[in-house]
Amino acid sequence: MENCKKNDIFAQFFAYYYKMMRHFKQFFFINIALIAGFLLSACQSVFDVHPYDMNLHGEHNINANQIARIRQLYDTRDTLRIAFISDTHQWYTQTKAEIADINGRSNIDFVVHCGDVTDTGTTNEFRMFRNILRELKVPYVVLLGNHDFLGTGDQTYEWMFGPKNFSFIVSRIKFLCLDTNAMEYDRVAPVPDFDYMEQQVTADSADFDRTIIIMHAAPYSDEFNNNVSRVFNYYTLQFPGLMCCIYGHDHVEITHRIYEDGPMYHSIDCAQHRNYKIFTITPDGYEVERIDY
Amino acid sequence: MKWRELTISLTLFFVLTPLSECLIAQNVQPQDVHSSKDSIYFMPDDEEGVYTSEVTMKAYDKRVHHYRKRWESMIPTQFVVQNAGNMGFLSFGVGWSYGKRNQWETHQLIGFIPKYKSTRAKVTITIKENYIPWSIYMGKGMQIEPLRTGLYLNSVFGTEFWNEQPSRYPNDYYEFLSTKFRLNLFVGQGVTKIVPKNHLYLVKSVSFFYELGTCDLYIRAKVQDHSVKFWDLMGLSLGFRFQLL
Repeated sequence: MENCKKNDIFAQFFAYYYKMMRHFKQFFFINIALIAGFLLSACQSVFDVHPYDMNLHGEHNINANQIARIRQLYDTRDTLRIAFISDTHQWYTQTKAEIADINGRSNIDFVVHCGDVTDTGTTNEFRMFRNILRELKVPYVVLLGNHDFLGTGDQTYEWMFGPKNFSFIVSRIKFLCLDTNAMEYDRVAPVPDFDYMEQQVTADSADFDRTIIIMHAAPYSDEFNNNVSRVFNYYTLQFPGLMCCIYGHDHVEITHRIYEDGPMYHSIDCAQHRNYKIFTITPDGYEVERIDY
Repeated sequence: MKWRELTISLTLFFVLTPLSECLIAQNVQPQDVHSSKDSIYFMPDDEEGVYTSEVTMKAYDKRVHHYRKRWESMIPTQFVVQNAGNMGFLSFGVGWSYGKRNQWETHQLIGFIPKYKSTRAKVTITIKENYIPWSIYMGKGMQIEPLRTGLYLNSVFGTEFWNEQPSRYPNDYYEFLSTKFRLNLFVGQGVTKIVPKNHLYLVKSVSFFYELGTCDLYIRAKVQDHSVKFWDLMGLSLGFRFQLL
């Protein structure tokens, strides 16, 4: 019995623990208090109420604030250089490298994220993504991806970034950002919102001559409401000086015409594949550059 | 930062602890208390007064005895209040303790998630299994549990959440994911104050415990990308356990 106990590391440890506690019981509670204090200071978010709790504080309505910054900085520019990133999900190492790469280039004006900032739409993921994005030196806007809908994700997006459909005008170019994730609504909601698109064709028409349309899921993808794919093409063609459409979702880097009579569609790759695109927009047109980092 | 919850919880702690102290006397002798098969066993005052006699049990008596015993095991032996831990701002419920040394516990909790920045408050239910391998008696009616560990399944109510992906998605679109059910793991510690028998009124003992836990989604995030900070995924939970039986 004695021999057996000696070999048992656990029994030995707890015999020692027990002995120590009997001797220093007055210190035990001080110990507990110290450990608790350490834990409280170590946990940035101390109590996790629920993964989808939306217990959020701090920066919100980011898109509107960043658009104001973009307009203030670049509204009179002839040439714009915009970095398009997409589908960062939970590849945080790659996303941080992507952000560092963008920060290392002095000539990028602003960044557009084409959606899927989370993998499962939890509040914590949105919080962590916001912290990573804060490292960007230049302004940025973020679109809504299908993964960001999970649980309370779409509500978190609306609180943190703003409306699902939005547009802004910089140096006479309208950037129209659309929510095309129809499958997330079981295709019963007006997605893509043609009323919004129709209104945007004429809204502030004196202030822009050209248009770029950005979305998360492209027409004919699994998320898109493909019953209205051709209608969508018709509506995009109503925009004055439509240059191209830019989308994410597919995790591929490709440039193609989805419709024979439609605009050029540029797909932005995911963070896992470690590449993104820089668009240089001049008064004559635009150039696309693929960046591997 | 969730300092508001922290303040509320600590306030609760400092209010509830003196309250529980009212039920508890300071001078309990160690021999009064045993941790035997029952959670807390008190030696009878007057052992000479106990006498035994032969009892003849008929088959019917035996059956009734077993029948009662089976149903009696369904009576909850604990009441539990706990905050956070991915199961709501505050959860409360009943529990059963069992095993040779009462080292096993099953808790059934109901919790609520406040509205915060979302459109509405939510309700969650939890089934929780605890394993407390050691209870060390410290004297003066104090007992410490150097380790408590276990896992629990949490379910949240609301149309935002689904168990299996709805039929609108293609097969395996969101693989192995349920937004409704979360499996959580935790480790923690606890202290128990045993109510002396001359002050027994409501509860046999009051325990305070803390737990550090995380859920399946966060473990998945950590596996997918190691740069995720450990403390971003861990959550602290504080709770009280009142032993009723």
